[in-house]
Amino acid sequence: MNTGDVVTAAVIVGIIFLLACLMAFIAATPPRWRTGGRSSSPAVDTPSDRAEDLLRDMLDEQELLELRTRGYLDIVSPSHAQRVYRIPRFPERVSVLEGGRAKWELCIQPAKPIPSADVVAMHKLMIEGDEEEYLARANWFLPYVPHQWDLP
Amino acid sequence: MGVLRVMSRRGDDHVRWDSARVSAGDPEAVAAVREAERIFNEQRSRGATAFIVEKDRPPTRTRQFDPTAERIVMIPRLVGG
Repeated sequence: MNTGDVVTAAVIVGIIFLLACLMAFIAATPPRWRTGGRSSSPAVDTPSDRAEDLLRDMLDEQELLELRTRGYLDIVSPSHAQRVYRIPRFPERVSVLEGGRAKWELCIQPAKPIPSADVVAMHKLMIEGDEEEYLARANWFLPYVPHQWDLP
Repeated sequence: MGVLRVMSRRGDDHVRWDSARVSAGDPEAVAAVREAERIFNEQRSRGATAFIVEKDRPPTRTRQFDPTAERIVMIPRLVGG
């Protein structure tokens, strides 16, 4: 066995050791808190599943159908007549429609990452529960309008 | 039953408590509601926003823990993107 073989074997043993340590650490670390269980559904066990579970709890059947089929959820503004917020299913800018036409795009996000279903629920809660703060925190952009030369 | 759900990268963490048992002074239920209040205040101090969410009603923003609420949902601090 030459020196190269010894080094390769040592690296492989080292990697296996590190993986074993990582697995042992994960197995031994309890969740920070889970009083009363983590979900109302026994089948829910990943972050994405739990976020989907919360979103299903918060939307009615029609809203869920709209989100699945169209890829966005429209929320009527509680305080601005003719205004609708179009929330995309996956994190992108929120469109502000007035009279059915895109007037603005809003960029607002959680300071720490959360699953995409939670982001949809977050927009809905903020718009319906505290629209003015939502608008104050968001960055506003003019909607993107493709130029002639951008079209195929 | 009351529940506090906190959005996080793990999906949502939650704590449940039984309001009737809390009223009756059941120690386990009282401990659960105190834990929920502790988490609520901890998250608020980090900038989280809390809403009381009830069926067929618009969510109501709340700045104080309400042990009588059926469901409180907390979202992380928001920033403009």
